[in-house]
Amino acid sequence: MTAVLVVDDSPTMRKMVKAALSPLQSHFGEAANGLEAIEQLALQHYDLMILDLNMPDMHGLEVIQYTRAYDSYRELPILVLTTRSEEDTRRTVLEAGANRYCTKPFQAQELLGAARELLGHPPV
Amino acid sequence: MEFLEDFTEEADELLQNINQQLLGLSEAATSSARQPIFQELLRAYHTLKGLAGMMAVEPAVEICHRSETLLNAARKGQLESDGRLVDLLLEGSRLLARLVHALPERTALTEVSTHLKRLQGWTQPTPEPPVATSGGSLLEIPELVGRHLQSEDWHRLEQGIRDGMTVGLAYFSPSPEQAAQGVNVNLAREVLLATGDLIRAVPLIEGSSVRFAFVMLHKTPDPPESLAGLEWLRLNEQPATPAQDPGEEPESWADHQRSSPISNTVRVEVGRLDDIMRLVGDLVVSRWRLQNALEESGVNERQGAPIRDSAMRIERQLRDLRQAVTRARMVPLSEVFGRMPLAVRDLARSSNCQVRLVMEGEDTQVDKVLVERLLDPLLHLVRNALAHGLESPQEREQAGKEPVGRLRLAAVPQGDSIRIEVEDDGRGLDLEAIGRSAGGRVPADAEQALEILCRPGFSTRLQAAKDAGRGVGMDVVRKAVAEMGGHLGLESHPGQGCKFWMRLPLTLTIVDSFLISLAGERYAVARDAVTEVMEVLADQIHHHPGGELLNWRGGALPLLRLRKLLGTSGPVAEPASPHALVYASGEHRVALVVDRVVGLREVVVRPMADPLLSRPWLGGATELGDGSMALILDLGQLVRHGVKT
Repeated sequence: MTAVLVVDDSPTMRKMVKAALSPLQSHFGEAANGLEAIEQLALQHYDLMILDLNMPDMHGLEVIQYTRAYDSYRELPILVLTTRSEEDTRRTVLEAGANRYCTKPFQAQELLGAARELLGHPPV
Repeated sequence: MEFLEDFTEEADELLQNINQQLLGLSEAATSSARQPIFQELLRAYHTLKGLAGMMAVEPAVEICHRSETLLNAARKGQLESDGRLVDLLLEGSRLLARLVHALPERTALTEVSTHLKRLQGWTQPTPEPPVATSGGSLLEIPELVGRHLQSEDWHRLEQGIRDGMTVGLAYFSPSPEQAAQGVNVNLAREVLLATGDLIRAVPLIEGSSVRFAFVMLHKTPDPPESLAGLEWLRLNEQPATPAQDPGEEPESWADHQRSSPISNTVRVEVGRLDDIMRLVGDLVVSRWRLQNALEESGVNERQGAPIRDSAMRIERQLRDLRQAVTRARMVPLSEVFGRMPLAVRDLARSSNCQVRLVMEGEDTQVDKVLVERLLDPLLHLVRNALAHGLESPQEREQAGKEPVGRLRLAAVPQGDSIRIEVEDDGRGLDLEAIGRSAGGRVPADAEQALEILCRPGFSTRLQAAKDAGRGVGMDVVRKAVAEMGGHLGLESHPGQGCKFWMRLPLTLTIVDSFLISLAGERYAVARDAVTEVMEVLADQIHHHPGGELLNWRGGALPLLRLRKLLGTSGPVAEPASPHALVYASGEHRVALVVDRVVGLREVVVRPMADPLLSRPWLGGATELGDGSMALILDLGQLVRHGVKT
């Protein structure tokens, strides 16, 4: 079974993401901020991280920079999920090492498709 | 709509936080005090924007977005963060609340576009002031951590040191064992936040393990509570402080949990707790069946003793279980008290008085449902206190009082009820004026005055003579209090002030019910027991030796007359075509004839305390808000067993 870490400071948003990704039948871990995300990664193995950008204490961009700076997490697929107004940050985020960039509000199918690709599942 | 409930709940929380932060912003004196508030506000608006986007509430997305833009400018000092800005954003927050709650109806609000224009047209940013650059040489922050600090972080640290604060550095190393106990980086952060401001948290990844460094600003140089895995260092040495007693055992995790304000909470819809409560009720019935089966089985005293003991134990455990579920529904009163500062601020402005709000007992735990229903009556009383009770500063000075009035909200637990007081130190009730406005005698005391104030429509007469006294919609307040099973009271001292109090039960059971009338009396019947309500025409009824049958959807239903079951024959004759409720229990259906179904409403169940009055088919009683009582009928009992008196 695959494990997916959903990082967002809004519990409702985490619930929405998990609902959209439920067809993956993955184990879902949750983190409400960047620090918690990095803690989760250190404590447990994950196959994919869905990451919000604007969070308290530690911005999602920093989380990407950290994960990409260390061997243990260099290969972890990261899907950044953020609000439209940050469209101009798409390049920064992808350059920092994120694998995909999706915007909120998201369509469940679109998010699921992106997640499947990153997990190496063929899109259905 | 999926997620609607989650959305409204989280949005409400975010908005309440936004309101509180905005009030904090208007009170924060220094720029360093404002920084954390800006951050919190920006985060809350941003989260709300994201959620509103998912729910496709475009106007809310716009308001959040433009509010963020303004706050960002204010944070950088490009914009004055004064009372005017706070007012503008508070107005926006009110609009957001309306948008969030209007979501199912998708109401178009014209005010939104006006507000958006105001947000956009707000004072253009002034040029950015030069940011003081700093090497941070005076700080002993390790390079490993320091290189992650931004220039604004250094700026805040320097400002903090100038304000006499201590810079602290804490490290937290997570481990799976600690995580299993709930000790994680969030907890470490909460523990640290209780001691000061967090400037930045830096994760340090070493191989496959991780450590977190927290750069802090503390008001006092005391170290935070100890927590497994947390080390704390003080960086800029302040004058000597008493050394920690080295013999002292570090606080255990259990102790910490007890003393710490963080709780491991789970959100549960009240409806789910109601479901559990219903299941507990079913268990109580099953236990009675067991008891009865035991009595009828003919087992002798000695053989039956162990079974009887078990049955007794189950009964006690059921009572404990019921209490535990009741406790799970309790929330602190601060959920409703917390909204008052904002309301008072608005009202004080519009009623030209100055007021200091004092709140006591907001930690008292009461039923969630009670908290929701308490908001309106409480707001009413607060509004009255400001509109009619408290005088203008000039008037107060002439009367030899402090110019700033005092409004006290207090919650005092009294056994299984709670007394909520709204007290002002204003002019008190003008009994003569109240008597005059009511066109009658002058009330002898506060109790009589309250009777007059609570007459429906009394407020409209008072509008003409605005300063005559209190009473805007007091009838509504009393009705709401009565519906919660409570009581409204009043004390007044001319020239010194006035105190309204509400005595309310701590817990409430609320049932969606049909109100029915029967021989001139009113009764309530739980709605979920009823599958259909219909009018019965005489030619639909067939008489049989065994009873009556009702033609129903091509078949026939046994027909029972509630008048006969209850043995009531009041002064009111049964109508020619009465109403009937179809009651279903499993496959079994019956039609119950009542006089009239008056309506559908939620009623608060008051248990029948007097054993002489209680009957198996009585589910309790409820107050209808007009002072009259209605008995709650348990249809299942009535249908199965008839009335045994």
